[in-house]
Amino acid sequence: MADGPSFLGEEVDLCVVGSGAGGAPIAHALSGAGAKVVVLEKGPWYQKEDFDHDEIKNARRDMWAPLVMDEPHLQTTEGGPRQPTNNGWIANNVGGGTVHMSGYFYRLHPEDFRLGRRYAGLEDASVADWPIGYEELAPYYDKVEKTIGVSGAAGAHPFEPPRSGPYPLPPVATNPLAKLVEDGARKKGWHPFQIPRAVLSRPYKGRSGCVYCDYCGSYGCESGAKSSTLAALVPEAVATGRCEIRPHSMAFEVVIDAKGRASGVRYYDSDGKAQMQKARVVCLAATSIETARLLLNSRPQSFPDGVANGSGLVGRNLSFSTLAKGFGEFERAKLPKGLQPVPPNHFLDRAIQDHYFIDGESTFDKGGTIHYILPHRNAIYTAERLAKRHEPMLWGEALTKEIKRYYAEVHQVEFEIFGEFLPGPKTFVSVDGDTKDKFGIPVATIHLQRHPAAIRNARTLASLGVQVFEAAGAESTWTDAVGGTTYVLQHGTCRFGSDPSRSVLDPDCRSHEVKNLYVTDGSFMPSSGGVPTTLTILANAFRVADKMIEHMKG
Amino acid sequence: MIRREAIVWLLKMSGVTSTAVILAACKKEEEAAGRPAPDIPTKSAPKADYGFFQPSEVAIGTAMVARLIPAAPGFPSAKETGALRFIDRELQKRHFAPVAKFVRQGLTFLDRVAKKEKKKAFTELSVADQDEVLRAFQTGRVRGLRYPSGRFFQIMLNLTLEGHLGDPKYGGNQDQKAWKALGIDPSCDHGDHSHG
Repeated sequence: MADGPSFLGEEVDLCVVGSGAGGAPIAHALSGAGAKVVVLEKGPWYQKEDFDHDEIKNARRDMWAPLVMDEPHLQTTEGGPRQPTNNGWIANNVGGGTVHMSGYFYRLHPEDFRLGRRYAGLEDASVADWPIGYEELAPYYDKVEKTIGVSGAAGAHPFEPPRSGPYPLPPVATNPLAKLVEDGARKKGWHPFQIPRAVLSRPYKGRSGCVYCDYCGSYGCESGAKSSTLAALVPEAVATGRCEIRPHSMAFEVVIDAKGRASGVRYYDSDGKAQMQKARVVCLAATSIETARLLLNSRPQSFPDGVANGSGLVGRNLSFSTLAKGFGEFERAKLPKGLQPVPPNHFLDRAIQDHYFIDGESTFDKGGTIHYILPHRNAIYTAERLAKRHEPMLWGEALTKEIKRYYAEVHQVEFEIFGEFLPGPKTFVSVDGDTKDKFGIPVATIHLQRHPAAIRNARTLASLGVQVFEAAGAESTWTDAVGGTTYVLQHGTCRFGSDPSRSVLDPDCRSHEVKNLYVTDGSFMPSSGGVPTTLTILANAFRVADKMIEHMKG
Repeated sequence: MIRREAIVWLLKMSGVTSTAVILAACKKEEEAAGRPAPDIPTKSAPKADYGFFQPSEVAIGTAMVARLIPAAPGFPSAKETGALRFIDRELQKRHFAPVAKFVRQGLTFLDRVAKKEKKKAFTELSVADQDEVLRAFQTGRVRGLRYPSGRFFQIMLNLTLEGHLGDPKYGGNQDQKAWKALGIDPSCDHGDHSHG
């Protein structure tokens, strides 16, 4: 299954933990620059042949996230009891969450880097400015878009973050129903735009273009058109002959030597045996929650409270993305002929950022993105979604009637919001209980206390999102999960900053305390942004890779 | 709050299974009660139609899934698509070990409640009476199970939808009957596309 070189038993230049958006760019750039790299990945190395449209396998069992009985997280919400959950897992496989992502590749806005000063007085919140600005990340946004292949239309709306030029690929094909959202938004005076996608609209760098099956989210891409790190970065890294991807390798300890430097990573191999990968530099990118867990579980004498945790801030300032969903239902018979979608299944993919900051909010005015898509076509999920629109859930004739109607008589359009999360003192990751996973490693506890101002703004965005459906003539509209949490977008447990007493990482995403230890998943982010953050994590990882190369030469 | 919990249980984003969450809750209670999770070995799909359910349970379970997803014009019932056979196979897998016994107990209780309240076996009841008994389970009014009766109902509804609308290779959705009725084709063979 796995291919490429093997450095088993050797000391290498760099050991990376995790192969998703944070880890793969590091492995790609450093192996490309001549370093010998081992990537420890806890999950399997899926091949294209493993990807199909089996909903039970992909969306309802353990293809991506482990079973709760094997590897739980614990979660306490708003001070409630700790419960086992699989919230907080993104993916356990080579390529991480980029394999089953939908691939909505928005950039952050320049203001997102300066929210600390904007919300300095906000109670129960701990937003901080980034130590870098948009202009430092912008070239790396360009680099990601070109390296992995992102399809989009530049200059499509007035709120677009500055960019140096067009996307490397034209936008993906548009579903006729997008016109409903465009018309509705324009009637409101807003500016709908097509969402950039990490999906190839045409063949690129030897990979084939999208076939429009519309099974992106929750699924691996069997055509290779989705620009996952698995499809776009791992093969090139392996082809250097200097990068080994080692699947089924569960890291459990960052090893610190007598001089206080990282000397490698201990992990359980595919047989469950403890192994040590020695390396001159260590980079963690296992997700915000799992990276914090790994550091907090690594307790050499020099770091009794966890490696790189002299500040006590590892695990702190955890943030997700604030969620709300809305639906608009349109009767097919009343829609013009041109708005009847036919296969292949093109993407609806329209968004508005007119409310990235909400007019009229004085203390906390950060909104986010209202993001319109077609509801996922998973059949079981669809039936459940229709059933739970009612309380108690529908079943029997009432449910079969709804299912039949959905597939024959109506079209539904959905929106999701990506709202600023607002980190605070009561939202963090700890490793402090007796619960262990199947390896015997103490598990992470997610402490979640959502900020009322973020929930309020999610509610505002949801009601604005619904107005688009109303303006478009929807027969009915409703919202769901307003003020909820998008757990697959994780940030902040190892914040970067210039002040070692207020951050875990320096501006180069290197530990203030352990000079050859880096973190490149979403952990570094002091604020969550009002967009999905996968592109930002990739871009920052490429930025850090350049710093790492400089440091290694120095 | 109840509604939010229902959402957390049933609809997980991005590939995270809903069933797993229910299982986790069950497992935790098992452990809290000092009971080990039942150890039901993983088997390959049995040659016989049913490898977990006893014949009496097959009868009750079949009647239940037929009410959860009944037939409608042009749409098959969960009985016709073999949803119970799917459930039977799933309950023999390792990841369902924590709930397999509970499902068995739930089916026994379904019949017990029918006999107590309606003086007939569940399978002998009119559909209206069957629905009334099922509603009592759904709304948590039935006492004495190892977990709340609403959870039994929820697990069965989840599994029935999986068996009805999932890939036929798991033993349900026989001959893709439910997909064909709705025009669903997960293979995405558009027939007319010539994309590379």
